[in-house]
Amino acid sequence: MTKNNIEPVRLMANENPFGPSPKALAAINEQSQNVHCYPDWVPQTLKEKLAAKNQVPLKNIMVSAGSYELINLISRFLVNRDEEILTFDNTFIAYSLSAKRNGRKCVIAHMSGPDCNLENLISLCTNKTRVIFFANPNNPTGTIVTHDSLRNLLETVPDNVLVVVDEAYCEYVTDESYPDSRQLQKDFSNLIILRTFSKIYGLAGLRIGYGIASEKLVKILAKNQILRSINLLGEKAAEAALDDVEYINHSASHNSKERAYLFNELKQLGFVVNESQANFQYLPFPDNEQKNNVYETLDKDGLKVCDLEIFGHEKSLRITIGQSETNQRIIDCLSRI
Amino acid sequence: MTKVLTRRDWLRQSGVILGGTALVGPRVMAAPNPTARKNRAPIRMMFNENPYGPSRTARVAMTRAFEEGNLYAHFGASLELKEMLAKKEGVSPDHIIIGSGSREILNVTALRYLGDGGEIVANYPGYETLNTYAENLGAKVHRIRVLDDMSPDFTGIEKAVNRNTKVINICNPNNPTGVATGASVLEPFCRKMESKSLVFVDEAYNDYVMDKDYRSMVYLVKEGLNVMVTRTFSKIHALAGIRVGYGVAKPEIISKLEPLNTGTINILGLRAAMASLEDESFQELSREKNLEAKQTVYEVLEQTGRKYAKSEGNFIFFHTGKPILEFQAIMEEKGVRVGRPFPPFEDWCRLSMAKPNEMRKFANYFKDVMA
Repeated sequence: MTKNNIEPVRLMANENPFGPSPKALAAINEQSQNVHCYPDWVPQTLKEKLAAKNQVPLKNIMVSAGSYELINLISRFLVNRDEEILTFDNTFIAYSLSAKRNGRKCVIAHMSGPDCNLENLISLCTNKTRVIFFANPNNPTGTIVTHDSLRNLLETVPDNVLVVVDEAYCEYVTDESYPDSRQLQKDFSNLIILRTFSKIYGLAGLRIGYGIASEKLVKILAKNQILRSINLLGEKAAEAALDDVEYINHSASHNSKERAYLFNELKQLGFVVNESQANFQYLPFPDNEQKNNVYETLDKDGLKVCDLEIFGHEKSLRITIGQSETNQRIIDCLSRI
Repeated sequence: MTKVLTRRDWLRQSGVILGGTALVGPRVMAAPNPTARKNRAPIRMMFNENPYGPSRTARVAMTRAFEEGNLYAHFGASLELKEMLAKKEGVSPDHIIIGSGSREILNVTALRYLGDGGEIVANYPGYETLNTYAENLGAKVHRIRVLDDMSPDFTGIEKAVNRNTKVINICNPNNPTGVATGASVLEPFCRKMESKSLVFVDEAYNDYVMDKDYRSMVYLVKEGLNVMVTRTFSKIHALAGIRVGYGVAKPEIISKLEPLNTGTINILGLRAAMASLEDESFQELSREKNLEAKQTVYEVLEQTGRKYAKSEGNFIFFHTGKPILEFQAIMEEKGVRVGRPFPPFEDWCRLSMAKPNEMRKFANYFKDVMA
């Protein structure tokens, strides 16, 4: 509780404000009495559901303990010691962190604005580059790379350069130019798609993600997998969440409506904002003083947003789109500045 | 679009159900078989699980953690668990590594110590995870067969250690034999070998041991020796399904292993583990029931004149005289699933303890099979 007796709202980690789907909760409750038993080594039912949902063969799916496990496995087992990982400076920090943890060199392409300009990546690609990582929609800026740009990247880089597109927020995208990456994956075996149950599916704490990749890459990653199995409750919750189409659709439509509201209101208040395709709004400032002022104002009102300084980025905030009342509170609060 | 339930609504509703089972139910829940979706699921005697299911307090903690299931709350909770474990083991938190099951810790140990080749010397048969992951990386494993009484051949292990040895792999009590090595033997061995190689002691079954000479090797870690101990919440704590384990070693070792962890532990597992640690009466009850179950099996093994090893775990390794795959099939037919093959003992069986009445069923079937 804050001093105003307002319950703090988490708007810093892009979690689903409605929580896990009721079906997922029911599955967790039912399965919680079975946790003395080991999970199956291969979560077969979940894999089958994911294959059906994504219309890809089973052999192209790899389930993991959150997509971070896959990011780590890719950095360690698909990149040799003398090879390099290439990513952007204002994208999800896990890629460069994972490179560091695993002792791999990371080359960083600079973003001059909120967009991931793939041309900048291409110009930094050398014969040492082995993996390219970026998020689409990008975290923290919320922008997307289009289908044509991604195809162009795949056509330009050599086949032995792996392109890893982290689509953690794809369910929130409404822009029609967004890539049909599963289709591209069929044409380009060096494309790896990452997905997660931590965002729209509301299961961040249960650690379930998955990848879609060529059979050959899936085999290498599975052979080296350190965890061996995901947890039983996460597995069953993910299966149930996939079936809760109504809940997912509601979360997505709520998000796009509220995203438009926040964007328009922030713009009217004079903030520099770019359109987001994710479940958060990026907020850059001319200087840290203005950023701190906004952060503190929101914080006093119990609105806990993300100061991107924790990821090494100055002069910017990221606000997760919340429930309607929360978003109104954000605007009310900021209009008082 | 109909109204979407919030998780609070849902918890309010499900609270009624939970109130009837988890909260005011018997102290130990009768856990339905998880494979009940299949008809007549066999009794699980194959994975050394705790048949009583998680303790009531662990279940309540998991239920409460539903509330934070959509949040990235596991970072903070991991630190909390680490501190609890440090306190329990009498070390500082920088001596503790948490993993998604001890398997993650076994594998990152292999990766750290054998990623560039090198050798392991291991008691055999033993718990193979660390060995096979290392072999996969190109390491060489010397498997030293147990002595006739199934105890580790420490002289043989010592002889096999050379300057390429990176890890000596001991599971104590050993899986699959169930044999525990007392501190009077293991301590001098660790002291002698730690300058030559990391001595890795997997103590997954630590909580079941009754032998007075047995001691966890954590006290050698505290002395700063090159010894590492692992533990799990999958055995007496009955949380195998949610994957939590930990390791204890000196900070120089832990800080090299932690960056290699690929997973992050799920919040329900973390909350359940913390609650379970404090529920000592559940552990006590699990231990008692395990002894009772083992007694039933020892009796039938004596009656049928079978060789077996006295077990300090929650399983018994015994000679059937039949190829294990054949024995497995016979028992499966009767509705009991027994353990996998453990070479080189191809006509032995590792039997996990289920509930005492289920073990009596097993005893009856076994008498028929051996008649």
